[in-house]
Amino acid sequence: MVWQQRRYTRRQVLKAGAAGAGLLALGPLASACGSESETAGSGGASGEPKVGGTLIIGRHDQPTVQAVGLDPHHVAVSGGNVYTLDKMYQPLYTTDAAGKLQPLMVQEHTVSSDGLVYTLTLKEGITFSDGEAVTADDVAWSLNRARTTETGSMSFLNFAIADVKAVDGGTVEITLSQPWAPLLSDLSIYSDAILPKDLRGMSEKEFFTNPIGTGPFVLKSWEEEGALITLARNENYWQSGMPYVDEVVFKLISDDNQRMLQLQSGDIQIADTVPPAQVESLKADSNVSIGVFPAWSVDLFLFNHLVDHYADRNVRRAIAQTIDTAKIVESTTFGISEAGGSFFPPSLEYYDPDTPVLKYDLEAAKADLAASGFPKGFKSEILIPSGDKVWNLAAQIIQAGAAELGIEYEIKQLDQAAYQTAFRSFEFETFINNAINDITDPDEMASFQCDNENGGSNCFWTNYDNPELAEVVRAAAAEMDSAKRAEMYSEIQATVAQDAPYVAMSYPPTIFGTTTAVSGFAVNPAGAYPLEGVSLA
Amino acid sequence: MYVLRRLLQAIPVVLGIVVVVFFMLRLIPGDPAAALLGTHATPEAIQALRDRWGLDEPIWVQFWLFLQQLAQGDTGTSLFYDVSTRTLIASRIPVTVALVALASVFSVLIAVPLATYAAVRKDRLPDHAIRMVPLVGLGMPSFWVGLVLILLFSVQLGWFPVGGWGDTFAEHVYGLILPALTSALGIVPLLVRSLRAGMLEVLEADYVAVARSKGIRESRVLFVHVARNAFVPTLTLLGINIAFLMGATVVVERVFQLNGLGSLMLTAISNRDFPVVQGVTIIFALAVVVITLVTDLVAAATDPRIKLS
Amino acid sequence: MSAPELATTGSSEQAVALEGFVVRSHPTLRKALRNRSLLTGGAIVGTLVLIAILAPWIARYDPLQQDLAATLQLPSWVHWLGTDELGRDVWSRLVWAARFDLATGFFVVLFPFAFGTLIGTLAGYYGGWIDTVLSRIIDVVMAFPYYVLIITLVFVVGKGIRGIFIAFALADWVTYARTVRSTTLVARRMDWAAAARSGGLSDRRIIVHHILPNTITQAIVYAMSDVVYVILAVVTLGYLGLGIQAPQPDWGSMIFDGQLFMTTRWWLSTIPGLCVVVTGIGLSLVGDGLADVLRPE
Repeated sequence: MVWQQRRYTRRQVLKAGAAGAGLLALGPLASACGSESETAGSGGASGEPKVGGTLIIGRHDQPTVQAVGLDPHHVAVSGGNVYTLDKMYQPLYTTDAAGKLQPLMVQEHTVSSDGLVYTLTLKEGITFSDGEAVTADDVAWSLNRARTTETGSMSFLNFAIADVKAVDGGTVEITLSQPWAPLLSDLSIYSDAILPKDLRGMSEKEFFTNPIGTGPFVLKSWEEEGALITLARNENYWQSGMPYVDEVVFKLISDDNQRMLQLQSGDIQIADTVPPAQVESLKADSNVSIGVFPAWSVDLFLFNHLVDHYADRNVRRAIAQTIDTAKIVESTTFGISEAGGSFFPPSLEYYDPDTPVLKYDLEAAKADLAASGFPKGFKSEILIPSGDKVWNLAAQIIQAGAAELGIEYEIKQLDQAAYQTAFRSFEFETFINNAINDITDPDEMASFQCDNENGGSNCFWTNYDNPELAEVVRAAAAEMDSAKRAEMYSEIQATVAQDAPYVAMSYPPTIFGTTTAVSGFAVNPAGAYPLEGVSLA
Repeated sequence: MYVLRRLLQAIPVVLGIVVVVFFMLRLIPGDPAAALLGTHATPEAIQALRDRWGLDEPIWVQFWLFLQQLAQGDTGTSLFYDVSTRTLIASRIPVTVALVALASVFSVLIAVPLATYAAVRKDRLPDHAIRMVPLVGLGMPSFWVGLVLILLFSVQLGWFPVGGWGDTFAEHVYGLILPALTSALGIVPLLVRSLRAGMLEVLEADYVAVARSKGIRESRVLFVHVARNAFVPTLTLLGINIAFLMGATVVVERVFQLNGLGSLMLTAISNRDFPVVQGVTIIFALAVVVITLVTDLVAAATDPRIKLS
Repeated sequence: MSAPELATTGSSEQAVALEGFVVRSHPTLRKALRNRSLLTGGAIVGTLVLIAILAPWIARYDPLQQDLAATLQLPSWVHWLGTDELGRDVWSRLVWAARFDLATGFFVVLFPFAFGTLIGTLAGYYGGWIDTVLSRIIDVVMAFPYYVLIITLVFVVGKGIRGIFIAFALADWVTYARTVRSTTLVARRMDWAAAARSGGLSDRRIIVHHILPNTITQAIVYAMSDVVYVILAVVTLGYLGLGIQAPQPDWGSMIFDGQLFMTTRWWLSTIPGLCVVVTGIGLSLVGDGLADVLRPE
């Protein structure tokens, strides 16, 4: 069966949420559902899901976990790592397939009148994979460990937390240093996972060799340096009846052709990262379903503001207006990605469809360049990681567009390691990269891309320095009233659209292929795919 | 005497390989710590990892450490996988050795009959047809050949697995057939061309004429005299081209998703996992040195002229 | 490193004894004109070179001109081979790629050819410690499997045409050096060489006027196949994501870009693949023919 999930606009997301937790792939409520249009595969619409079987997933990314340990609190962020760990450990909250924040381990929460103290009541009956109940002590210890780790890639999300303590066996109190709207959303990040207090007295090395978590699966084997990982059913999983499959095998298949062919031959049941160019031919295969899931993800064309040319706002605006985002998505992804506009993806909360985006307009572009310090154009470079087909094409389109202004781009391809090093040390003129929001609250993306000082990345390594904008970003995170937040985020999006510190080229969805034997599979907008609700025909 | 001289010659070569590998890899730009930690990594996290891996030590110190380890037969610990590179390489060697071995067998099985047939039918249609093989084969990139074979035999006909290595011995062999064929096709053109020339020489040699004149059956002449005399040159040729065959595994393993040394090297080099790349490259180079040596010695043992030179 | 080799360029000294030969007579034009391989090969290569030179007139469109409204079109009278993902005319890209790839192949081979021949001649002629040192250096480089060395070098010096040029310059000369060394070793033992030396001719004169003309022919023959190896290696590097910088039209990147459409638009990668094969055939025939023509009676 072939299907393509419709993209959500923000309103649709809200509506879907209001329709109830029926879309929730996680949580007890989900067990009976299988709302066909939101899950890949065809089998699961009627009847009880079948129990048993081995689910084999072919992945594009090499997990690199072993060098950093299987420790969720300071793990390297790569697709391969994250999506192995989140099957074994769970945070307090989670993002469902429709992009709504859902409590996972929390029964209810109250907030003090000053907004500084959150009291969370834990659900009863949640156990670790060793059968022990999860207590408030475990939660407090875990969150404190997660927020204080120095090498944790995502710990910047926890910066407003001043302390976490257990009030009694089932109640946790979180104290903030300032009012902080994204808090509950932040707690859904995979790196705020709950582990047993003091790792059950084991050393880190000992514990993470055979880790204990609350997730639906436990580690069974780790072979070929992570190219072949097997997870087994957590017999003590706290959501009764789940997971449905006995085992999950993650196979590294980095070659795109090979991964798709193994899916078609049934050697694997799920393949991630389907190349847009192959979607058409895969859809013709009756054994395969292609799932296109909207994501809080945006492909960016970024300027290095330390370079004279790009410190000039008029130059950036001029180039932005040579980029026809509609044509880019049509040619590079065959219309699968949505054309870029605001730097917030449309499915993200507080996305403003009325953002005054700089549209493709050659005359306006020429006028802006004429008003800049470089009216005659100049030579420059576009840095892309090698092997990325879509970005390679996008770079060529940008190159052709900018040539109309007399700006000559050379496309420079570096392999991943050199590419990462180059943009982190600002040794680039322009580059292409992707930003993804990992949680429901847009503060992550806003601060990462607009707050040069506190955002953690110098505005995605562009060095875009706009202190007034950063103030608004910080104020928006501290604002509890959602109508006021909406206004602030509209202002942020408008400022970025007009300043063009970078150009949002497209909003790529997450594309997965499954065989028709698979049902109950869905990917949330943050790119995570829980597997407890997946069954095999 | 000749054996001893050849062995002594190998020593500076091995040392040279070690030096070249170490310094060549350090010249590659890109930080392994940044590569491992990804987009959200903090500078502190990157620095912590660099310290742990000793990447900020002066290069001479690193080289000295590397030599010390190597003297003990140790190529270091993988930065990424945190296991000894020896273990890592040992776990991947079977795939690559099996692939190269099977590919050698295939190339002989394909090349020898073709070359013989062409030589026997010299300047007639079969000869011309077979002589086209090297010409066409030479121009085909192996990843392309592999892809076509997969599309044809695995996807269309369903005879072979699309890729991977399986769990049992039978599955290993089964899974290696297409990859080995792909590798073999890379050198078959050269083997055919050289063997045909060699065969022609033998066929025109005096003792063959004598054998024929004695009324010995043509098939027997071919089998006993010609094939036997073609054996050593074939072996020598394979030995010479083994380096090429091994290099081809880098590509073929990727096309067929085999986790051998070649794919290990590709992943490791893009991760800047220097100890692993060092280990694999040295293993590859040593294998070539050893195989060349053995081939030379075998050839010397069968041809007395060589010892004199 | 070692590219695949011909039997006549054996790996070590005994190969010389087994198969080495010295070209004693200079090629004659008549012999060349009678050689079918050489004529056919020459015709193929000649046509390709002509296409490459006339690319601006043969190509019907600018190979870089995008038309995002007409991407991935089927072959038609407007676009003989259809258009690619960015709406560029595939025929025009193919023609311009011929220019680029042939130039790359010949140009990249030039340095290894010259340098390798020089080193091989020196090692073979002077012998002694010069030969020992040079031979061990050659052995070290040859010990690396071809693609292992090329890939590593491309990582070191960077992608793109510059990287490819440097990587091959560093890796590819050894095959020439070894071949030429072998033939030089044999040549200098010949009577006329000894006579020349005792006659008081300078080493330089002997090498340039007597040794080189005899030894260089094998290097030239190998260079013909080497051009194909270089084009193939560039194609393979493209597959590994280490190839030519976009948007330069090149057969390798066309094969690589087209392979995603193997089942829907097979010609996108098959036709540039055929171009590589035809080039290979042409150059191999020329190589074979040259070897025949230059072979002693």
